[in-house]
Amino acid sequence: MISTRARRPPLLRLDDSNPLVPYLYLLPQALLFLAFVVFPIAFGIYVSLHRWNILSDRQTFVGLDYYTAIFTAGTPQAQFFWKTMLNTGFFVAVSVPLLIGCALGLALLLEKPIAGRGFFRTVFFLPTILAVSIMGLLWRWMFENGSGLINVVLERIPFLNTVPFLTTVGWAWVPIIVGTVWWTVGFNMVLYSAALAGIPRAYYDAAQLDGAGTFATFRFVTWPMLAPVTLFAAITTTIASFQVFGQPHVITNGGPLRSTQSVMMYITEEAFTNFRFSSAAAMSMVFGLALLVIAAFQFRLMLQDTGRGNS
Amino acid sequence: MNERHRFLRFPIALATLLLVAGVTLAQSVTIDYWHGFTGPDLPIMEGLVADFNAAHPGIEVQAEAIPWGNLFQQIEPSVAAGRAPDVVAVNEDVITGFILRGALEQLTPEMLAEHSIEPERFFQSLWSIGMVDDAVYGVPVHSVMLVMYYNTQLFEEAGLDPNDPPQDRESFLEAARALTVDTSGRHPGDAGFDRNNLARWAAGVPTPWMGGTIAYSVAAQNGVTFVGPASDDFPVNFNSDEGKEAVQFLVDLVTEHSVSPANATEESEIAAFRQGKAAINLNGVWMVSQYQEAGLDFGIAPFPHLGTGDYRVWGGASHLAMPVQRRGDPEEQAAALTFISWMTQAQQNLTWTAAGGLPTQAEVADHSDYQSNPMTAVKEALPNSYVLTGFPFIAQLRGAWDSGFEAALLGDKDVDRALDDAAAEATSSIRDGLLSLPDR
Amino acid sequence: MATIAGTGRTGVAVGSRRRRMPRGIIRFVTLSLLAMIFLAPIYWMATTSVKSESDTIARPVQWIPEEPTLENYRAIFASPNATFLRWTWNSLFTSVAFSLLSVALGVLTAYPLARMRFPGRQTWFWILLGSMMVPGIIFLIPHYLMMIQLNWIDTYNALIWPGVPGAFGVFLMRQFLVSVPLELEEAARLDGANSLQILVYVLVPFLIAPMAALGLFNFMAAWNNYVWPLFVVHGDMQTLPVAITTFSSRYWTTYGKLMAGTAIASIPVLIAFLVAQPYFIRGMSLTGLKDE
Repeated sequence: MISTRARRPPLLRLDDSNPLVPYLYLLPQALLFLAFVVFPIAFGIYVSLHRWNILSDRQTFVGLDYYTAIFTAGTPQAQFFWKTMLNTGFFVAVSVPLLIGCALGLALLLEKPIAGRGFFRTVFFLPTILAVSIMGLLWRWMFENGSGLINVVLERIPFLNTVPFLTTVGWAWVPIIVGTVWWTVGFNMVLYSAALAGIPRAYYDAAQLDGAGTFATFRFVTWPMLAPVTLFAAITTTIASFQVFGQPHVITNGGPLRSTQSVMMYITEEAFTNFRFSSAAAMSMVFGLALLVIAAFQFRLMLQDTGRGNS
Repeated sequence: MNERHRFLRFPIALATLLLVAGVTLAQSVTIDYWHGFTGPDLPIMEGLVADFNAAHPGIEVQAEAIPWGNLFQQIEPSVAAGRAPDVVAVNEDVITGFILRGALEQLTPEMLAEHSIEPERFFQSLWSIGMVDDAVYGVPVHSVMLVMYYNTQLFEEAGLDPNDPPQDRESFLEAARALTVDTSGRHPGDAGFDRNNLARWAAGVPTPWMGGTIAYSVAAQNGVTFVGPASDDFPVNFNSDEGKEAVQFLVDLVTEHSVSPANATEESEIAAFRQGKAAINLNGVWMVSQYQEAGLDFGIAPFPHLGTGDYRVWGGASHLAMPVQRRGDPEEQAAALTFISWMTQAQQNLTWTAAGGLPTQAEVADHSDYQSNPMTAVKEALPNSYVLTGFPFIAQLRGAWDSGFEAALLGDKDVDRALDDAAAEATSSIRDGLLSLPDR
Repeated sequence: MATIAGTGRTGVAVGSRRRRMPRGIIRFVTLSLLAMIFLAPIYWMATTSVKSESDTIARPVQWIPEEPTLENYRAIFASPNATFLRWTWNSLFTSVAFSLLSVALGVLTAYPLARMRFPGRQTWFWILLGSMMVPGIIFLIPHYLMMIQLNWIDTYNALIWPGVPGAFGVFLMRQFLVSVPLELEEAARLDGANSLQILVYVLVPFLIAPMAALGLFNFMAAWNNYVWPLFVVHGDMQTLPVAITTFSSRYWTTYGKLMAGTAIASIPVLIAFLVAQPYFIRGMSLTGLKDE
């Protein structure tokens, strides 16, 4: 072994002293990374600058036409892209605070030991393992206009009327948002539970000595200590919520009047139903760039990691 | 079914191979056939394919049922990847788009003649759907229409004659008032009638697509053509006074006449009809087997003449077509044409009508065996089905029309604004669609 | 690492519970009500699926099915194109393959990034890390067009490969690898082990828990993926969660059958979860929290 090393030039050595060894380990992932991450980004931009017809061998270059269409009032692209953008923004604005608040609430309820704690935690986490289609079918039936459980209950309560949730502009968001909270709140709850368990007991003891009540303890000890988790959860939830697709796809199919159609749904409609892949690629780029801004923020946070607990 | 076929494929292939090698018999050609008949019509389609295979020892058709929406998404990618099926069923609202984007093979007059596919046999309204600029791309295999289902028991209870269902606007409104009852037994127009608590009603006006289809039929009866000629780039005209009158009439069924619950959907109406809450259901011919299974006492009649002009009603069709093959194999093409020809013959069409489809040709409609089909009730309406086709933006046009109708029905906008906005949307979609067409 | 059960404080907490009994009861009642609400959809699904069609819409509503029947399940399994076993297999195979491949690639790639020195190490790490910021929507259209070119539409390849080089696994594995003491590696090297042997025999044993967690996380992500399989595979090649919606669309108005289909697709997953539940939540927090 030693003798080989002495004789051969470094790049041809057959052992760990060859400086190419680290690259060898990187190679398999790097090849796939180039093929399925780097190349598609460039290819997506290329597609968005052409009028892509999958049945043709040569593609017509159209420059920024599909981008300007998104920003020109009166084109269907602008009309629906921004309408569905707005829908998506509404969904994010309502669901993210709920997903953070409810998760924190559940985690606090489960913080101290109580009979059946394991059972409750399991129950609250249970929906997160279901596929979005299952969740959608369940809540579609729960909120069904005539015989869904929610309307069956509403029927029984005096002075309340049944609500045709699935077909009324505005109300149609209720099944989607309730379903989403039910479906994903367990994940943030686990994050909070772990963070709560990590708060040193001494902080609470000190607060108690200072005569702090329950609320004051929460306000001045628990909440600041949870800040990093809250930020992490808020950003991951925001990014996930912006890309909402399955819930409205299954529950309302974007209706009524496209009022619950998300921007992801519209992009897929443009691509796979209208066969305008270039237009869809352009929209993906615009939408993706907007998300990138949020993601960059998350990126910074991940780098700063912990140690911001007292901010 | 497909699983079984796959397991069988190997022994079949082996047997074929042995035959070819040993006895030098005619070799077998395998044809892939995709269609969207996934409902109660699936067993009948599979039976037909099995019959074809039995009758044609040289050809093995492998059929795959894929829900329509998915099927249409798959056609072009499969053509681009060079693995398209040999035969595909496509509907009237997408066929022109596929033709113009170059996904379907032209069926030349020679091909048609050689395989005895005679254009004259078919209803011309259906045949022309498969054509662009005098070139033929598809052969009608399936035809559908909007019809009226009505609950005979509820008709009798309301003092109406189940053998004489309402067929014009006046009699429809009259019957609808008689059929609609609130929870305290009052009819629309009675003092104290509570429109928010209907126990039973005539026919819900639903959203989104089925409502748009009903409104489309009434508008067509008012003489609306939806778009103008191709030479003028398809100017949208559904927001004419006639179009608005049609939509207003349907909106009034809910708001003025109170014979429909607000916020009905196609699904809620189907459920209500099955439960005996809705006396009338306006839907496609394909619902018949579901209602038969539910054990309802019901009758079928043509969609009523609710408009002010000539009788029209929404119709649709499926055509058999051949996707473009990257490596054209003349033998496979011949086999595919043999299959298309066989499948669209009168005899097969007659078998097919048992699945709820309407005849594609006069010979079947007049056949003695067809006269026991429940859909003979709407036979008279057949020549009047008004199929929107001939341009590649039907999905966008219908999308705009449907959402305009929905906005008016839900009271989101008044009828004027709803249809004007929808027309503007359709116009810009069509303009955009014309731009994105490949150069021909 | 983050753990769920705050065992350290049990003694104190028990004391405080005894002192404030009423509050504990309020908390218990609140939790019980919430649990009922959380379980309601699943209960509603299960009961609807065993009701006859007229009972699903009957008034007064039947909280407990009066004449339970398995007819809906029979009809679902008998209906044409209901290849539940095939769909389940598609989902299982592609999710497992995806999960194993990305864990393996994650470890392999993280290894030199965490334990070796070579030119370009930092740059490559930053590139990988940066790629995690790119939202998935950017890839949808180009990936789809690539699948057409590769003739991968309707194949397992389309479900497995595009996601495999994702950098999350690399990032996670690197975080754990960095923390393994250097002395162990050096001792092995003195014993004559080469770099691959060091990885397999020295480092991987430290990574078992995070690898399992990452594997589980990847498996779940692949199993629950919706948008991509919806467009890239069809029919017999479809994954179970997507197939169930396409399949169900023909039963939109027959709620008993609709819920029977939903139950068939979800009950095995629910049971699997309940069995593996302790590992599950821990694994989720391990990957979710990373180094919080």
